[in-house]
Amino acid sequence: MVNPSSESFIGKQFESLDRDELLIAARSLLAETQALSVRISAVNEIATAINRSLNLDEILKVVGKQAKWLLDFDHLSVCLVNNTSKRFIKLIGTNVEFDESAISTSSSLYKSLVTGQSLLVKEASSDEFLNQYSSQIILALESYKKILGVIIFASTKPQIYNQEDLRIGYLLALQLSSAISNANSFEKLNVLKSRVETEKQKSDSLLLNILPTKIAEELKSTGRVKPVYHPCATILFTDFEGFSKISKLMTPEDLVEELDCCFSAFDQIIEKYHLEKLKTIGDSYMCASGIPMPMPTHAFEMVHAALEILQFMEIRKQQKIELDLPYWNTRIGIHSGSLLSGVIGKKKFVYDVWGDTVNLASRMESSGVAGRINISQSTFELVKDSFDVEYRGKIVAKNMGEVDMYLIKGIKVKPNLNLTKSSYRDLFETLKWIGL
Amino acid sequence: MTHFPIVEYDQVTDAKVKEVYDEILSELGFGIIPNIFKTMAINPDILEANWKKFRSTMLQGDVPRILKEMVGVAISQANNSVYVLKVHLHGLSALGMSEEVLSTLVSNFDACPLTAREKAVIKFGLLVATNPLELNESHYQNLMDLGLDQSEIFEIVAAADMFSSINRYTDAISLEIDAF
Repeated sequence: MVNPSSESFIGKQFESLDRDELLIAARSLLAETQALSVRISAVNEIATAINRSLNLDEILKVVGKQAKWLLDFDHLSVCLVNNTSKRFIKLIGTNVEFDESAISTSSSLYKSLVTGQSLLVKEASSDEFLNQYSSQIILALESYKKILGVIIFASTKPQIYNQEDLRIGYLLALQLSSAISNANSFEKLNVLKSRVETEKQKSDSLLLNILPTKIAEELKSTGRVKPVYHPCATILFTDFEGFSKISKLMTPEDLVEELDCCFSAFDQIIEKYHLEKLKTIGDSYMCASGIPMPMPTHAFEMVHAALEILQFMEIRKQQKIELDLPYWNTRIGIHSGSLLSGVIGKKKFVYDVWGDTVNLASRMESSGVAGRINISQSTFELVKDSFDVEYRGKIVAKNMGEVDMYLIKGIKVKPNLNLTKSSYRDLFETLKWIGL
Repeated sequence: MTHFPIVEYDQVTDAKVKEVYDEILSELGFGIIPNIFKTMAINPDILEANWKKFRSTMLQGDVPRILKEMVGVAISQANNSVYVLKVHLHGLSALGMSEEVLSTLVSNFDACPLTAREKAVIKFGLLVATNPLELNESHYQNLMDLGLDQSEIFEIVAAADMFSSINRYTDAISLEIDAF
């Protein structure tokens, strides 16, 4: 800003002044120097304030509030270059129409945006953008040799800015450039962070889909899963009798669709009983009860689930008969005992179980009867109070010799006890708990 | 001679007074506790209330502190209140401002090398403190036209009001100037 008192000294020789005049001149120059130092400290204050934020809109808000203490102006705006388009933000002053296509190539705004120069307009010609303002300071905002935009100070009064004002404005532009550049980097970082987060969620949900929650957590936190010994759990296998024969009558697509339909239903049923699906092998479905979290009613839950699976397959069979389509009869085998569980390998993780219990459960299925649930002696011992069974006698199982087997007939009818299934289960748990 | 005891940091026994003194030392930026606060140690609640008022008026807000200090100096000059004048001149020089600019502010307002906005704010603040009944809509409108918003104008009124009150208090108790 042009100061009338200092102007009056310019061009005058100090030698020609008397003592009093010299004193006034010295005072005035001193005051101006100090005022300049104050303006520099004001730039520092703004710099501190804008560097507190990494949000572009907040940064511009601070500039709009604080810059008015730096320079006199009627208009303050920022024009930011975003790829090829420009964003014009008026911070102080009356509203301005911004039409990018109307910016003349001979205007100072255009020059500054292209060359990165800081320009002082003393009396705006009609070519200038914002030519309603005679005096303008246009400062390029630049970071790492990239022009981010410009900041414009403008006043209706002609010729009010000098080089000193330009330099003060330049100091602000430097600070603003780095704040905008930081905000842009922060935004990019946030986009990347949210992408990483989305991918992590995807991989987490995939992991949870193939592994039990507890096991997935262990794998994520330690990178491996320790094998766990379970003293008592129950394993179930299902198999469709005559699968290969019937499947020859179906197209591969229909076959896969039918298997998907059945196994999806099984998935839903076992989830209800908090059982753990292990895998499907061809037409065989394998699940476990009482792992990875121990469950005192593991055998009881498993037999209930098996009954529901049979019920589902029976309904499916009736539907097929009505449509005159081939249908499958299901064999189910269950055995309870000790086993080891864990995850092995480095790729395509599978939660799996090992031990004789698993082999015998598989034999219970292969030695089973179509449309029935075949259980071993140890499972029988665990559920005999809850289910009616039919003893089959000792039956030879492959590599196992003679094995006692039982077929489930149904849930035991308890006279005088009108219990729903869930309250019955509660009762069972309580009886188990108290050692009955 | 000050009419109330100037309680030095080492003499403080009250926990609240000590807490306020510590805040003043760490937040004011003068490196000392001004005597004005030391005289208030006699009543910890009033000391705390005054410090909090000073802090939110001068050290916080959107209007630069240096400008609010200038308003304070102009008011103290008009009220001929020596204590505030000296202490705040000290404060201003710590912030980079000097007596030279301020004396031009009084001696030759038009030639004073401050922006039109800063001059308008100082004039307005002076009027708030010395002749508040003269203030009318046009004074407020003038600041609005210069781009100030309501909260910034409020800050200036609050600062001017606080300096008037500080002037009255320090004059009334004949407060001694701090040894800087």
